[in-house]
Amino acid sequence: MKSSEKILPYIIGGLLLLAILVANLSVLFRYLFESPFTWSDEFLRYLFIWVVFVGAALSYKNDELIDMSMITDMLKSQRATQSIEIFRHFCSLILIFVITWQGLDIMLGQLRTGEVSTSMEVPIWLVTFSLVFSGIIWIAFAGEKVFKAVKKWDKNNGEEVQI
Amino acid sequence: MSLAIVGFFFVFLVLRIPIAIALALSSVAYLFFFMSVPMSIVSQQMISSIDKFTLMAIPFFIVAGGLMETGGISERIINFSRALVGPLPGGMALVMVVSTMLFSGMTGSGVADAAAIGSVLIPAMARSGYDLRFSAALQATSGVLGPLIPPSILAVLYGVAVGVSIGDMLLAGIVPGLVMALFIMGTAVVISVKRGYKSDGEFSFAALWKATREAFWALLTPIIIMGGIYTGIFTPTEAAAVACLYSIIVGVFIYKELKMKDILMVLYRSGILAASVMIIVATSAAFSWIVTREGLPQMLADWFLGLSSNPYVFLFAVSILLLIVGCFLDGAPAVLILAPILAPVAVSFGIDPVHFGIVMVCCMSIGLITPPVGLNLFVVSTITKEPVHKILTEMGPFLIASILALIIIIAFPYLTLVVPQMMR
Repeated sequence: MKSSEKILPYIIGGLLLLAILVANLSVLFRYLFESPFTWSDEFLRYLFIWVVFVGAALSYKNDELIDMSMITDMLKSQRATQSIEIFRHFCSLILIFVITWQGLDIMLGQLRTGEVSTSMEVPIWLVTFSLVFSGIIWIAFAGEKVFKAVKKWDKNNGEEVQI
Repeated sequence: MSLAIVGFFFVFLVLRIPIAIALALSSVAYLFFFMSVPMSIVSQQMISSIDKFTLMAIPFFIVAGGLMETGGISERIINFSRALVGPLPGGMALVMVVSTMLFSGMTGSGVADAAAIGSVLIPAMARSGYDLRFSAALQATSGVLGPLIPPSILAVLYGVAVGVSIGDMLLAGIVPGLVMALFIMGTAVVISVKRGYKSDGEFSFAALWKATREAFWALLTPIIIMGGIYTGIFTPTEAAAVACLYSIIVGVFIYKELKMKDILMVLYRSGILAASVMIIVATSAAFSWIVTREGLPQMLADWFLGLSSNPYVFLFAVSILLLIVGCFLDGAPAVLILAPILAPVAVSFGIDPVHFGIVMVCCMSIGLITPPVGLNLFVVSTITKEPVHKILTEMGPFLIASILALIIIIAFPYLTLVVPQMMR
């Protein structure tokens, strides 16, 4: 797990560098050699879909997704704060589960029909797989957060502490 | 019943569920209780909504901003502005606005601009005798220019959400951005002169020439981006990708402040930041799909038309609504959620969707400096270590100035539409 966490930034950074190079080369080829890439548009779209879903799961893990903490920050009771903590991660867990499940359903359908993309002719299920793949790691992250929040709740069990 | 989805969303938002998740969760909940449409529509919409080449401009612009912040570009922009406007009355205050304006011409977000320029200029202004809270308030306000002056993430999001040309949206922001800059500069100069803040050195052509030469490659960035889009050499998405490569080349080979080994880490960090914006694009798609199918925009249009048929009454009423929304919500989710609902209403009033878009972007940019949730206030508060409520004591005149600029932008659609029309 640790080594994969170290290597992941380089994979995502590398993919983005590749995206920058492909997009620039595509402009260059269109003007200099008057032969535009037919595949670059689709390649960049698919690459970004993967980066967005995996990146979003990682931002969730690092608590970097945009949220509104204004109201919850006003809560004085630690008990209430902890209850909300459990509830909101549990809600995320349920949603990601639903989305991943539905994504899997769509992906299996695409596997059956063997549908391919228009210009690169790659199997379409590879795109949907990005949602399923990041959904699975996201479920793991959310599960961990629910688990931690419940543990915190247990620790303070019975003591109503004012903060 | 269609208001239930909005209700769900608010409950989840208040409970601090991330906006991206709250949007999808309220869609799933609404589908479950009120609609007989398969739930897989949410997953389907999530993929198809970000499967658009025009949208790729956003991650590319965010990545370009990250590269420029680390590549020594902001420093040279500041030196150039100092040589240009420093010697005028209220010199350093003007330097701050002009630097932020120039930096806005290269990056897509107001927060990044305020952070990059403010971390250098706020301490420098304190050394020149400017009040710390005044400098902080001015920097926060200057950051409003970020989303107005192209490139702009909000403008791209609006274009994609409503289906107007991204190029038009970007070009349309130029004049309103300059109007806003003039109002902020005017306010800053009046306050500086009144308080006796001195100007920054003597003007000299030699110094200006030197600073211009050093900043040349940085100053070329907005020209490449907007010039390329304006002349049609490349699309906004390609322009953003060209800006990325250009910042790598300038940062590594010309200014030599960006190390090869850091590039991948900078790309990774900006990539994650871009993903946290794009995931809202993905999940808001299902939300807007339901909201539109349930006829909410039509309901809203009828309600507004019942009030008055005057487009300006509508624009001002919506602006007040948006300014209030901006006090609580970040610009990107607000545009993604509200633009598909409000833009059709604006069109039914005979308002140009590009003009409406810029009004919307302008309101949400002002949202960066309105409490309780004004991201730029948090940024300058972090830089100065002054609490937000103390910086707010200096915000009054700047808030009034930016709202006056907004009124001008609403009242004169020509200011917004002149540049995109010139292109046609």
